[in-house]
Amino acid sequence: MPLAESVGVLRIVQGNAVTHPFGDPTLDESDELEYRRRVVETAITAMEANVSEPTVFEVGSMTATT
Amino acid sequence: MTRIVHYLNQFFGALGGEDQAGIGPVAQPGPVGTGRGLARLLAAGDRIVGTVIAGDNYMAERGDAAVDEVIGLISGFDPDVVVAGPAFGSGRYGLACGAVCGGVIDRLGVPAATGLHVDSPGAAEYRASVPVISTTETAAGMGAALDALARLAAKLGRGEVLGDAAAEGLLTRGLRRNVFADVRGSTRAIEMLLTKMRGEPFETEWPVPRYEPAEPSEPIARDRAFRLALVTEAGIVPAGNPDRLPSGWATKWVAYPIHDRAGFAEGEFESVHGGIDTSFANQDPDRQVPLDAARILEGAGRFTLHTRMLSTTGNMGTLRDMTRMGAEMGRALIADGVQAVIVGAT
Repeated sequence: MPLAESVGVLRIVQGNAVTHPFGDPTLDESDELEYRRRVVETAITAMEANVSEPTVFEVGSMTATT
Repeated sequence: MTRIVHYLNQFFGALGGEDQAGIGPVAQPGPVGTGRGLARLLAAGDRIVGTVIAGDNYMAERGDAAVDEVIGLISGFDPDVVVAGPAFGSGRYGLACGAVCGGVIDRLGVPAATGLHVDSPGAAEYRASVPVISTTETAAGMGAALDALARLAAKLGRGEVLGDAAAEGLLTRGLRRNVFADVRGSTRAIEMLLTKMRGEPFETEWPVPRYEPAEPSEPIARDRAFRLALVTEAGIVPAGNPDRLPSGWATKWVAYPIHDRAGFAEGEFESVHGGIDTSFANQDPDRQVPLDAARILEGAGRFTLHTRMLSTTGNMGTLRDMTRMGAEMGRALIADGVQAVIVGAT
């Protein structure tokens, strides 16, 4: 995430890990799919937002911090 | 004696202003216009044997065919070295100088050089393949530019290997050459730090890449459906990697149809990324490209998913290649009517 901000990515959603940004292998299959759905929803929320600088959108809380 | 052929546009070749910008290439013996100043600065024995002049618009509008014509006229003078410009910060002229030099080097096997401002379009396009003297943005710096071009032409004419870009007055070409230093790295680093702390000028040995700031895109409208694409740099490919996407240092990207898939199944797609543990992605590639979740959300009618997934490997990628591929992917997606993209990053 600090890397994404430092190179100037404007709409950032923090994923779970580099090996599975859209997944969480500790969850069972249906919970993991639900988690992934929330990450994608957060990305869509991010794309609906006006941003002027690198902005991180947190999964679940739907709030933005810069 | 080094035989130099000079390339100029209509203005610096003294044929006229913008009204003559459509003029086709013409060859004249000896130095003309800017070349008269250059000739005075040349080393003893070096000589401008001919000048080729073409209009800015002619070159810009006719592309490769115009460059071919110019190169034909240049080769008629049997040059040892070709000098183009300097074109400073100008757009059309700078691009023509770069294209002519590149063509001379590639097709005639003759060394060539030009002079451009670092931020000019010609410099961006040709600095990696053509030696480019760093100039001011306007012709106010003509004297210094010609002086540097005269010295460079002499070196190229003698077949000398060019040295450090800063010492030659060149824009860096992105090449690294091994050299022996008198002092070891740790000592040089501490000396540089001390120089910096004293507030004195110092020169880095390795410039940090500059990230061009991206313009924020307009948000997608909340009340309209849009087309969403999924892109990854995690090296997700069909099992067996049919297009041989590299595990690192990628210079290409690939696209695979996903329109008939509800999600990715283990064994059908895999990750070839060489910089991470790929076992989680291989177990379920949706962990890198969230296709199954995006399909569920697509069902709600907010967006439609693009028919293809775009993939490359980000591991060890150079800034130059990655920037190019990002731009290529963006153009391809826009051409396909995509308005929004989710890029999974490792």
